[in-house]
Amino acid sequence: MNSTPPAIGLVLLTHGQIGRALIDVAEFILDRSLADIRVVSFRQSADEKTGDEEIRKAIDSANLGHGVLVLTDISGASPCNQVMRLPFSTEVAVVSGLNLAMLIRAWNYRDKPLCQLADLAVEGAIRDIRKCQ
Amino acid sequence: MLQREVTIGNKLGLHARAASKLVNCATSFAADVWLRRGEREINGKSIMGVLTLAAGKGTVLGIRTQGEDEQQALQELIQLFEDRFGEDE
Repeated sequence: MNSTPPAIGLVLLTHGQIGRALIDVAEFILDRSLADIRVVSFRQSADEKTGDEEIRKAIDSANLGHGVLVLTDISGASPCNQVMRLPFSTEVAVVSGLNLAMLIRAWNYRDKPLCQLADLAVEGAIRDIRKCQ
Repeated sequence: MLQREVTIGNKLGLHARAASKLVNCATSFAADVWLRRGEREINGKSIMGVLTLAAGKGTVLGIRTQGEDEQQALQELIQLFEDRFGEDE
């Protein structure tokens, strides 16, 4: 798939280095750079204002004019809660339960409209969770 | 429509990187590409689909191509398997 616009911007908002690690693995698997995806590592020690600023910057920087999908690792935890209470000037969708399958799917379908992309990301993540043996 | 069976020859089987190579090859053609393991058939242009085949070394897969460039698509996909996805063993 090519990366010509319109494309949805992607942001990974996770505890620690989870987001960075997933990007590294996805880049290895797909054999291409995912540098367009912004990564925010949530730090418990950082004050709320700094965290808000980091999230805003990442969303602004990821936005190509068609909205941004934020993928977080777990619902109800601070990174997810923090982004949920922020107002944004652009359209933002937030999905929790980030895994490698979700990331790859979101990347592959980023030319879809934001709402549909969020559904595809969720579906891709769930589909990959199964009893393998 | 064309189809052929292939046997996975590389030690690691159809792992993530190999699956990615296969999908990149498949998506470079207009033809639809399907992979079959037993009764299960998946879209050969979907990396997550290919990975769900969980196909290790020695697994026999069916490749099916359909479309205007089906012949070339099938040929290049078979070549990938024969080259063991560029892996040494």
